[in-house]
Amino acid sequence: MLFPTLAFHLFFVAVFLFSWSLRGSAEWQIEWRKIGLLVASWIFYGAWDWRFVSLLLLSSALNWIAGNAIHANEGQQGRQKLWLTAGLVFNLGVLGLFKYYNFFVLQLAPVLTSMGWERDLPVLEIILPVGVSFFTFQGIGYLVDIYRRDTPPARLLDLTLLMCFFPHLLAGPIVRPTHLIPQFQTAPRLTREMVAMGLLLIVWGVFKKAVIASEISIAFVDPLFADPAKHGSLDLLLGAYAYAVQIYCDFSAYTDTAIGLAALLGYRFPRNFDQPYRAASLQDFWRRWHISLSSWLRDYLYIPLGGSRHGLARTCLSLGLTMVLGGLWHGASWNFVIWGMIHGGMLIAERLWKEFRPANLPHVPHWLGVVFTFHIVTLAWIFFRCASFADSMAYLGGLAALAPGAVTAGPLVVGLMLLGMGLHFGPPRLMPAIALRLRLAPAWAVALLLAGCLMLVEAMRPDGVAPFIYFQF
Amino acid sequence: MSKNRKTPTRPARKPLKAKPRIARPKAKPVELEADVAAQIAAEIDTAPPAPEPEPAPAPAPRPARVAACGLPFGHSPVDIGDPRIEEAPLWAAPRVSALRWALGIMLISQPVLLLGNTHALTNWANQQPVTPFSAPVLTAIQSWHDATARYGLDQPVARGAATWRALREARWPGQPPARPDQNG
Repeated sequence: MLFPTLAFHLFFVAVFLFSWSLRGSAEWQIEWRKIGLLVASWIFYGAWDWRFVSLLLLSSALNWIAGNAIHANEGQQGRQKLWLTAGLVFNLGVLGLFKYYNFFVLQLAPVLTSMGWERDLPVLEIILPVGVSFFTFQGIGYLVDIYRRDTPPARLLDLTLLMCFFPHLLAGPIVRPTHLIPQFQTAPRLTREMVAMGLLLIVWGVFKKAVIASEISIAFVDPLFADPAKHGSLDLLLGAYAYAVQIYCDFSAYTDTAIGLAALLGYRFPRNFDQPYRAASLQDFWRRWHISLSSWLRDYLYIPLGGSRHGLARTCLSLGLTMVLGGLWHGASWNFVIWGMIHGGMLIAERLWKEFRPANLPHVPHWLGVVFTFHIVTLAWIFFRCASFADSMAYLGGLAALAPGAVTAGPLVVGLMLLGMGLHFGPPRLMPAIALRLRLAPAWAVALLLAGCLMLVEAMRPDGVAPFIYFQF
Repeated sequence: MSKNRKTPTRPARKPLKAKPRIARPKAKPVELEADVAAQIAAEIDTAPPAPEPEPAPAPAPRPARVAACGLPFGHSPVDIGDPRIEEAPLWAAPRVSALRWALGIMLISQPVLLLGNTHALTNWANQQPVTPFSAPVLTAIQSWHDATARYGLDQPVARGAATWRALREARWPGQPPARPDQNG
């Protein structure tokens, strides 16, 4: 079930009415509300493939058992570590089986052949469960938080709902147990500010996905990346910029909608994007892009690897490793590894520059930093978008050839690209300011405005809706 | 303004009186006589070993550092203002509870969409497989679309779609027309 569809619209209206019919603070109302939301989340996930609902259930149950065992062995470091390791092995095992098994088998086969040990390694024909990377990361985060005593063990119902809650289930944001479980344990609270901002985020998210990202994708990016050899250098350059805008509008649309839907149900999700292309360095970029993932990688990977506390060499190693693994998290492909290496390499270069920059050199102007960072990020997106390493090199070869050729992007696509980029340089407080006005308007006026906006999107969107890019991760 | 404004003069400070210092007797180093020191050394050598200190009781488990209310205020995009501040301009609607307000928006927008956005319904219906169960529903949706079209209710979306299609087909001077796969 995709967010910007009629089926989801009807589903959400039903869930909204049900959940607020149990709005009291009595224990039974809180519990039944959670059960209702859990069942709704399973229906939402099951609409894609019923079989994987059991995987969600299994994952929640085993993380709950491991979390309780870690907590029960308080003071016994060895046993705690054993349970933590078991939990991590399970979560990473799920991820490895569904996402990486075939990739590693295919990489291993030629290595074994070259060593004279030729074997037909079994390749599994399995579907990648949607959102598996997100819910396994949530499971890992939960266990590590209990081990570090950052959170007490949750009840099975709370943990299952945390991992399955439909607004963030498929593509984040990755919500921490400390952020959401306490919200589950009390009666949800709704304010007019939450409603106004939630509705704005939903409408804005639907517009960014169904109009900007879909139009750019169908009319320009998809045909261009399918056969880059047929296009001139200018077209390829525009294509790279277009994909940068498309992936931002696509992914931020998902999280905006998710945050808005959760707000209408009375829950607050953390911010996930903050005008990322106005970042003046890669470090700044990762504070603005997919913030929930970058903070997860920082807390559960970068810092345990040593972080910045063990000297410059260790810091650089931790940075590089974190970004390469972060790249691999996106998908089982060398292209994602290269994407992570570009980001990791630039983060290391920035760190070294900060350390060894000659004192007499003038500071780089802020605007130049923004332009430079955007182009590094866009270069990395080429590897992210292309299906294979060979395709990426063909794309970059075409770009470097400076070959003339017709531009296939029409005025509408260029206009939408400019709009997508312009979003980064508008006032950051514009949407909250609109929401603060909107909350004072009568319900009928907001309803007419909402219906008008949705009808406008309906008029502008291409036929059908492609899945969000991050669903494949 | 006059530049020669008189500034109030500060009262002269009273001279500080020095506090009388109390002389402390200097500590003298303790000097042990040689035989006393030798006696103490002999006692240390012959003294039984001091009993092992009892193991300290295991520390009580630390309480988990958990945020009581979940995500701190300001960390979510929906935290747009201090809810305690009430500002009501003249044009503002009478205050009703947030839930009643949200329900009102939901309940009014749905019929408006049902009347004016039948394109979404027919698009959805066109994607569904025709089965004995779905066929009557799909027919009803098409009939509903036709009925609203008779009253011109489909016109806002239809006109918007036509304008958008024209924008999509617009080309730069000298640019060839878009291929069919480029038109969504």
